[in-house]
Amino acid sequence: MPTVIGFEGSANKLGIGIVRDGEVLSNPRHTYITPPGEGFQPRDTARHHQQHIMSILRRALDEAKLTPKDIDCVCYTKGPGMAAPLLSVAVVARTVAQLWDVPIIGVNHCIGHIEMGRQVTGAQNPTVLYVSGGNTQVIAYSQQCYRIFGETIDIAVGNCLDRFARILKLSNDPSPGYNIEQMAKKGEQYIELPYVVKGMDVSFSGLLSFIEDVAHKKLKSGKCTPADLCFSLQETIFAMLVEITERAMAHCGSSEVLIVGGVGCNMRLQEMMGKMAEERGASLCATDDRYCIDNGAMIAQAGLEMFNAGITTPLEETWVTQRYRTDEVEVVWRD
Amino acid sequence: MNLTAESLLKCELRIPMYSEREVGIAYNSLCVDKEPRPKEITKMLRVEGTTLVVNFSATQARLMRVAVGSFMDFLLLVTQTMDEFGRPVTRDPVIT
Repeated sequence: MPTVIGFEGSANKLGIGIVRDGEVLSNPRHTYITPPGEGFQPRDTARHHQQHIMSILRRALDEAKLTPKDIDCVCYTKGPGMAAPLLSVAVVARTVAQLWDVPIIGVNHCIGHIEMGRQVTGAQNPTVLYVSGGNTQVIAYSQQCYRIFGETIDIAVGNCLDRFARILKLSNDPSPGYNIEQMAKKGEQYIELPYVVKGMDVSFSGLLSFIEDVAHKKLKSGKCTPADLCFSLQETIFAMLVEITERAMAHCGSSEVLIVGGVGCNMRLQEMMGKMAEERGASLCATDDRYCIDNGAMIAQAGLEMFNAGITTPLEETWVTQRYRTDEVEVVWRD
Repeated sequence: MNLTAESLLKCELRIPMYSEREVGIAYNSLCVDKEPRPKEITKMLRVEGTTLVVNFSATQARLMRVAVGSFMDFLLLVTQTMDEFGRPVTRDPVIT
């Protein structure tokens, strides 16, 4: 059974994971955390990855109790993501693949999330809600393709949450979304926000501008608290996501729903999705922060499927790309 | 802007390495990526013996600085990776 190492660094998380036969042997991760009110910039994020990649790689091997000669294949994130961080990680992946004389595979980041989610939860053929800082998609598998049924037409749901956290100057540690979730539990009043579902797609940028305006006006006059705003924002955007997911499930006749991506570890989202699934007689498959949030094992897991299907990437084609849609990948490893 | 014009800024880096194997790995790891603005900056890599040679041409000093700077960052990653995770495999024959 092949042992595969996966390198992930498309955003502010640097992760390296090793998997063998569906088992995660190690999965260390280091997150670049910016001060409250600030997002992460490509250059600084790349520098973070460059500074930590040697120690994370060492930890991945040590925690798995493996040496380089045990590795059969190296996988890295080809995209989508920020160019400079992606590149920093790809350069190291290319180098170890040559040093250890094993094949290399470029993996689509979104496919990594889906395959890891399926592996961890055991979901067979789920409708997938992929929600993170950079992506918002409702996905279902059909004929060698993860088809996108609905997606955001502007910013990602996680980006909306991150930017709202910046407006409130919430801490980015461990993540802005986590801190919004905790604060939302203390919310007492629901403030009506724009609910923007267009067919199968959603939009968050107008909503963000609206709540920013509300925050500046109502917070100053004491008409609401930051907790009320966090609560109202979560209720509104999660309801939008549940609505389009339910519609995709109805269309596909799906009996499972899988939530992946960093926003997927939000318990309120899981609760709302769980209720919808229950009413439809379907089951909710969700994972915790180890696998929802970007990590190396998910790249290794998707890479393992590709490796077993005979796919490898020639070294001269191991470039990275900022744009790489989920439905561009031919999913040859599924029936 | 014509990249063959004599007004272009040029920069050549020569990076000596221990062996042909190491210079080959570095070349393969670093030659894949194209510069983001190919009309304004180009980067050509080649191997001379055990030396990695890189030639940059740019229309602006600012672009040259960024390109050379990030190339050095990535080169450092490659050499660090080789130092820490390389294992002794096929080396040049050692005469004893």
